[in-house]
Amino acid sequence: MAQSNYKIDWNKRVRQEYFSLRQQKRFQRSDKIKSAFTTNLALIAERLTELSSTLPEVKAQCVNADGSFDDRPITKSCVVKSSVHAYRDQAVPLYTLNTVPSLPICYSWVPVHQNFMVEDETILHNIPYMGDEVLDEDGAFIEELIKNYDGKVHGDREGDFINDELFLELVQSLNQLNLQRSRRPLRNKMNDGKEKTPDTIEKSKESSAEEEIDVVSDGNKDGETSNDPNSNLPCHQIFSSIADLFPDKGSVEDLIEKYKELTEVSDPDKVVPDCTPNIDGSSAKSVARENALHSFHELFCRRCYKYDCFQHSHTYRPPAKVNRRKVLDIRAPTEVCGPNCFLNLDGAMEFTQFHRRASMRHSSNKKLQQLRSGGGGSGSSSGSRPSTPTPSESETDTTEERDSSSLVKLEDLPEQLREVEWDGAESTLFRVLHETLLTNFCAISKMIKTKNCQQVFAFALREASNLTNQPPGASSLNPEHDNIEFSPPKKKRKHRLWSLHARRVQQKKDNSSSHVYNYQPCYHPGQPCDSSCQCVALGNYCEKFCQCASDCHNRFPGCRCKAQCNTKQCPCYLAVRECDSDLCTQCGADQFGENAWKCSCKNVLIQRGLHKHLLQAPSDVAGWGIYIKQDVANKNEFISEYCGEIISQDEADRRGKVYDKYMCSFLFNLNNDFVVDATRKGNKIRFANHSVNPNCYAKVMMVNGDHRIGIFANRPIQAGEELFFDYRYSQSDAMKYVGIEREMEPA
Amino acid sequence: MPRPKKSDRQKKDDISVDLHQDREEFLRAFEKPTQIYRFLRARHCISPIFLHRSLFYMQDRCSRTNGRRKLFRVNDLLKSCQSKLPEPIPPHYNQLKILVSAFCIDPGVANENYLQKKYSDVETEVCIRKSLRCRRKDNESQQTEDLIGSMEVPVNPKSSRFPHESEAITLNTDDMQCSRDGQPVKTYTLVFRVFETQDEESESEMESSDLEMSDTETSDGDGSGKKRKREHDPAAVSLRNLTTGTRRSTTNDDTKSKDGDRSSVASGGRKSRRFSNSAVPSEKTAIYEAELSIFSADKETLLVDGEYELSMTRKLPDENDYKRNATWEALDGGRNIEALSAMNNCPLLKFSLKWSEEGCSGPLAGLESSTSEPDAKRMRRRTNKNLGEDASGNPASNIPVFPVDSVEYRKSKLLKKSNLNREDGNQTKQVVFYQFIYNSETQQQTEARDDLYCPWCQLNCITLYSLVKHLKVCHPRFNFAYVPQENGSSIEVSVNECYDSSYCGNPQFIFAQPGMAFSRRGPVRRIQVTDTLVYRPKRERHNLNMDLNELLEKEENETSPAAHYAAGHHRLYFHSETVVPIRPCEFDVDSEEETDPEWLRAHTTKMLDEFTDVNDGEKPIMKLWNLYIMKHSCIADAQMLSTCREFLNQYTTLIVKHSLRRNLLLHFVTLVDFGVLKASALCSLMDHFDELSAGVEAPDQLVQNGTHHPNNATTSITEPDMAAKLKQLQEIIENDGMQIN
Repeated sequence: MAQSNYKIDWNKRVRQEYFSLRQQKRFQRSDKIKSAFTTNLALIAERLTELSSTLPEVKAQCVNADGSFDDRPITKSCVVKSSVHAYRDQAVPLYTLNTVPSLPICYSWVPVHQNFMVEDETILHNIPYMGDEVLDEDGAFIEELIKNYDGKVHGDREGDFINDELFLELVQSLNQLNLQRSRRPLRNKMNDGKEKTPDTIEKSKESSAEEEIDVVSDGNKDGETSNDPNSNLPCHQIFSSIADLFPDKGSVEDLIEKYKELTEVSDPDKVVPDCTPNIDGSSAKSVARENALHSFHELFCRRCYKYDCFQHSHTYRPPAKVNRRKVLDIRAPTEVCGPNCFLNLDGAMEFTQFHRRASMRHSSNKKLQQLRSGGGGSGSSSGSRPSTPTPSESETDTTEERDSSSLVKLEDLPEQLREVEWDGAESTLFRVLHETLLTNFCAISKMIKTKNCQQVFAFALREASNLTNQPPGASSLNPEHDNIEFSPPKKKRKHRLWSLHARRVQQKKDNSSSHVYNYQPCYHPGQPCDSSCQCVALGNYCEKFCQCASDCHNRFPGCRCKAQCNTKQCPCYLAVRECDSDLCTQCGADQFGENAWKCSCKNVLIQRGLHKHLLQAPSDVAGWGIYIKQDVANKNEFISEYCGEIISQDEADRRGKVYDKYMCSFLFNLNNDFVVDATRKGNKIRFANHSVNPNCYAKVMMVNGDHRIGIFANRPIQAGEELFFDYRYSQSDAMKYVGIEREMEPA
Repeated sequence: MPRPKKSDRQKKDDISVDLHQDREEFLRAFEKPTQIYRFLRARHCISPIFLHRSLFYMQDRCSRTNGRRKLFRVNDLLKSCQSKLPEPIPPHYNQLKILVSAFCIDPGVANENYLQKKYSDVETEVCIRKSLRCRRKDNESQQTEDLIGSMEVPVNPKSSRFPHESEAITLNTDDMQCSRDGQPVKTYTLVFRVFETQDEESESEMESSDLEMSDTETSDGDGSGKKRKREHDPAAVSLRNLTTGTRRSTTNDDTKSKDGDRSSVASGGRKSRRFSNSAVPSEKTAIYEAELSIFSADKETLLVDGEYELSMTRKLPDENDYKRNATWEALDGGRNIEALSAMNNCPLLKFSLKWSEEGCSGPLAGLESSTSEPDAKRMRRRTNKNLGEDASGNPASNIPVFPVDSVEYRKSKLLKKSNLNREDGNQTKQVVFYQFIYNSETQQQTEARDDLYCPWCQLNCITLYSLVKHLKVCHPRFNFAYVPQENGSSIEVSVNECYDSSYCGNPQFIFAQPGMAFSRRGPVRRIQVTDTLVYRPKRERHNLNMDLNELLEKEENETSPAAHYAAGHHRLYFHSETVVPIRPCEFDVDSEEETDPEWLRAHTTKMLDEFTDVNDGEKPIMKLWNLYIMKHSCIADAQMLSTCREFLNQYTTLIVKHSLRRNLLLHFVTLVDFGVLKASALCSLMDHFDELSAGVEAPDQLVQNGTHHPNNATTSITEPDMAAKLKQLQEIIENDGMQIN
């Protein structure tokens, strides 16, 4: 077989295989759609039955309870006369029904009660239909629109499209073909064409194992042993042909790499390396603390208290190691917790005593350092391990342990304690808890539940001795960011902060830069919040979510109002922020649940979602309108939050083009970085219309680190009034909150 | 008959072209609203609203006091009912007593008015006419008339005086049943004739006790004089035309009576009664005539006991009557009303019929009539124009021609006051001038009326104050301005340009077409709507003195006349997602209260499921937690401990069942790591969890076993088991999420 012929053959084959696969895909797809449709139908039917079963329970009044017209006055009668005399005239009373006015057009949308961050759309999902006129006359608009998305329209690129899945299947089926071919070289192509069914990976592996010798003898591959990771790799020819066919997918080497990657992922036997086994499962392994908590740490949103929230997923940070003193408030046990308490062991008391002293010493060291460096910034003593020093609290400091030879050693413990077997989950749990609960082994054992106190203690000593041999992983704290231990009295400091703060607010107002930027928690370990800090740079305050020290000078100190916080007397109100429940305690912003009545603060309504009841009805002005159910007594009362999708400014520009064409836009500038779009997701206030003489106004407020749009009353509003607000900001407000003035069309 | 109108311009130049044009303009301005009010009035006749009684400015019309309520005892109910039961009816009657009580002339009909002025009494003659069956076809049926009797009847009597039984004309019907002279008598017909007696005007000026009306009494004579002059003004459109419901063609009496005939046929319900135009011209003085057949052809008695009102037909054209050249083309709806108002166009003779045995004691009958009539509720038709007369104390009058579909309950006691007013009005001949201003206030027509009826809805307002008030409040399509004049009072009428006739009822009623809105099948909730009819003149020190000053023009300028505002929820609301109308029972539910809509729950779980490097123990905990937080929003660190506690309260069972304790622990440790939770809180939470889980049976011997047997701790679960369980858990989570709301 000549090399050139062979090459051509492969190219053909690849093309053939590719198209058959695509055909297959198409069939599969249509099948999928069909099945999805039927399942949806079934789902709907199920819902309906469920609904009809619950209907009697709901106190509902039936619309057409009585089909009689008894109560209506008869005004006319209708008589049908027949020309045939045998039939009598038939007369019925004629009831006049009122005309029902038609409703404005409405597009479906999805209710949200909080803003929802979405990613930019890279492809145009659909070409908007705006009537035949636009299609005919204004083709340029559509063209421009498509150009905005780099010509990518959903479902457009099917022709020469190849994705990972397709690529994988293609390679595998070609490989299969190749193997068969090498086994039966005399087969003609026609027969080859018949056997194009893609095989599963396992099968291909099996066959490749079977035909290993053949492959070797074929000479296309170098001799591999089964240990070689490349053993299952299809021959090079396949990749080069594919690379020829799809030049945009990269070189041959890229394809091979990609193939390797894909096969690895799809291998079910292989555990994903990042994934820690389930700690409650049988295959739980003893892993380091960070690994155990990896998923939780990575996914937890400090701001929403949710995992993988919809709003901040791009800003997640692992937990800050600063400010832990407040949190770790567990003391070392002084009381014996039971017969198996570790305190009953020899030397355990001394152990805890030592730790207490160590922490004392440590903290005094710290203080000295701070005095020297003047601000608690640079005291990085690499040798000493971090601690959270409080005189009254004790803590672990495993490295300190080494310094003292007088302490109890693992060898000192009784044999049966040392020999206790710890399985993976237990040891993982210990590592997790040890950092949180420190040397309170009683508590740790209680948490682990399957090990008693003494066993935990023994394990702790063992761990400590192991630690000397390996670099510490989980417990690398940033000592620089430890708290100032002996700070001036709280009140005084606050006062200082206050005056500083007041000045800053003033500066901000005077500052010509009117741009407001999105807040992101700052993270610059080892650096105080100075000009390099993004909060400072963007003109935001540091929030409790920032990973800077809690006494960071850029932090907003909260208010200490005792009233409603709805005047400019309140620093929060002045700074266009809602009161922070963790900072402002005087106004009652920290009262929840049953104690909510104690909250006198009126500046927490957005975060608490205490909006007014709104009602939707056709507007007196245009389209739909929104009406308020209850009277609004005062000016500046909170009506509702304007919710929607949070999109980037670029995305808003792209979407806005379509919306402008529709003459209906729900875009609302949030800050310099983001725009709220209530077109697809939103809440009822999206129906508020524009008016130059509105009864409401919008204000972008900083609420727990997020910018949110509050709609407030401009004047007292009567129940049943339609709500309007001025879509444009007033000039002064625009200076304050919004950099770019955007055109908003009346919805 | 109708008083023609006079316009200032017409006086000056009597050009017919101008007249015609003027009339056109007048019609253009006032026709439509007038027609509408006519229609409303007719509708009101069919299904009345008893509003007038309780209006503060219609105090005189309020016919009830609550005085009797004090005396009311439940135990008396039976007795009072029993007393109302009719006396046992004697089996056979052969005497018909006819008691004519009143002759009523509609004061609205102008040319008949003079009769009332002229005569206080008229003579009524009752004859019986026998028409014999004739044998030969070409012969007209023979008719003989016998006079039964005659009596003096008061014209528009003011008091509820009821003639005594002794005055009754008695008709013996014994001989009627049998045929006479071998010739069968076809019909017996009662013929009523009213004659003018040649009295002089019996208008005696009675002193008026009503001080309130003193200012309106002025210069009555002038008014009437003017009126007479105007009567001869041709080519004017009469107010009467304008404001009555009937279609008036250029009528003479014949057509009119035909109208009456037709209408009676159309509407004659239970008892067929015929009003026929008598062919025989009667004596000179007999001006009204009507007849009533006693027996039908098959000898059934058509007449029953009761009060009757009979519309009389004028025999001779009055010299004042001339053909009217002004007509209103009625709307289609007007046709129906014609039947209703037929009775009201003609003078009415009121009488009562009573069958009795011969020699039956008179006193009994008298007693009966007196007990049955004044105190008991009477069913009366609300009539078009003779409402006033009816109110002014004619005894119970039943117009049998119409089904009694509109009733008004009234007690005669209170009528006295209104009678007083009425008398007063009659005596002083209060004249009200309606000045119709049109063509952008450049033209004017004046129409005078000497009664206090609303020209549009024929409501007797009794006092001038009430009339003007009524006009202003109830007829917002016009602007009314009251101007006192020396010789009466004048009301300027112009079309209210600001009036928008938009639907101002409850929008719910439009949506819930028939049925629900007016359902009487049980209590239904309604959304409260406040309709405000803004007409708010400054109330003078309450309206005790009913001062006309408050209706003066000047105050009209302060407030826009009768603007209608609706405050409150004056519209139909829709569910924001489904765009289905919100029913009143759903009104209080706010769809936005729901913080975790279903799609968001599904999306949350899906997002977590998509992670490949989150293991099967972490995912369920995260999902549970996410769904919980979504529902019970947590906004502050300070809230976290209590939130976690509630989370445990809710999900401990689930967590234990799926043995996720360690994952839960990791979750809490995470919270501690992020500084959201304190370490001590962690301890207390886990304690709490262990307490709660103690009550829950662990599915396996996992974890819960004794602390000293570490070996069997995590080995019991095999991998497939776990997978199945997790699947189950996912379902539970989903279900749970659904159930929560």
